Amino acid sequence: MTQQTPQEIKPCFHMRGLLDAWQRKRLPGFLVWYVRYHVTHCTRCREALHLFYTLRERLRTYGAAAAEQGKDSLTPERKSRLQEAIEEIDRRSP
Amino acid sequence: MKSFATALRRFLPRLASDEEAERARKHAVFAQMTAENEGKLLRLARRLCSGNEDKAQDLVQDTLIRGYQAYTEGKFQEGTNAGAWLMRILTNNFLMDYRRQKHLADIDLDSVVTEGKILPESLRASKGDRPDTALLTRTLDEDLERALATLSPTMRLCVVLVDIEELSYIEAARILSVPVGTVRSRLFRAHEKLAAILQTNAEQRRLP
Repeated sequence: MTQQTPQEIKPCFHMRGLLDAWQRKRLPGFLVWYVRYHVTHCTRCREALHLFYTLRERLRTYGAAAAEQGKDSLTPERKSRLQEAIEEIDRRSP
Repeated sequence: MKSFATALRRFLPRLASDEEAERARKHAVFAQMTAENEGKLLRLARRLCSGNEDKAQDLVQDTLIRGYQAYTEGKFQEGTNAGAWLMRILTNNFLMDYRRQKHLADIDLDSVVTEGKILPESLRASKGDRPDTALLTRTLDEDLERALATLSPTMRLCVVLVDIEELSYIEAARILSVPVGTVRSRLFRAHEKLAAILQTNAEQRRLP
C-alpha cells in the first residue's frame, strides 16, 4: 500500500472503481470488507476517498440549491417561437 | 358506386375531425411533458453552457422543437420516461453543437463569475483548514462553475447528470448512449480534475 505524498490525491490504481462503488453502496460484502481494510491502511486512498466524497457532496448541494432557485422556464419570446415552430411542424406533417 | 361516394363523404369529415382530435391530444401530451421537464432541462442546459443564459434558453428551445418533431414522428413511446428522453435530445444537441464548433472558446466564463468581487472573510478558508475541508464548506458556486467549465463536454455531462442532477449511472449512460463503464471512468477523471482545481483555489484563498 502506498504512502501519502502531499500533492497527490490519486488513489491506488486498483481502488479507483472500488472506492466509487463503495461510496455508492454498490459493493458486495467481501469487497466492502476489503475496501475498509485497504482504506484503513492506505493513507493515499483514505485521503482520496475523503476528498471525492466531499466533492460529490458539494456538487449535490450545489445542484439542490440551483433546483430551488426560480426562473425555471423559457422566456416569453422563446415560448412564442416554440409555439410557432410547433404549428409549422403540424402544417408540414401529413 | 353512389352509395360508396355517399359513405366517403360522410366518412371524410369524421376522418378530419379524428385527425384534429389526435393532433389536439398530441399537443396536450407534449405540453404536459414540457411543463413537467422545462425546469430540469433549463438547469441542465445552464450547467452545460457554463451559466450562459441565452445559450441555455436556445438549447432548451431547440430541444423542445426537435422533441415535438420526434414525438409527432412516433419516436417517443408514451408511458416511458419523458424527462430522460428530452434530456437525451438536449445532450445530443449540445454535443452536436460542440462538435460543430470544435472548441468552446465562445463560452462566456465572465457571465458566471463576479468580476473583481472581494470575497467576504466568512468565505475564505482559514490557514488551519485542510484543503478538502475547505473544499466542502467554502467553495464558492462561482469556483465550482469555473472548475466545471474547464472539463471536456463529455466529462461535464457526466458530472452534471450524475452528481448534480443525481441520476443513476444507468440513466446517465442511456441518455449519453455510452456504456455504464464509460460513465464511471469519465466521472472518475472529472472528479480528479475538479478536486485538483478546487484544492488549488482553496489553497490560494487561505488567509495569510
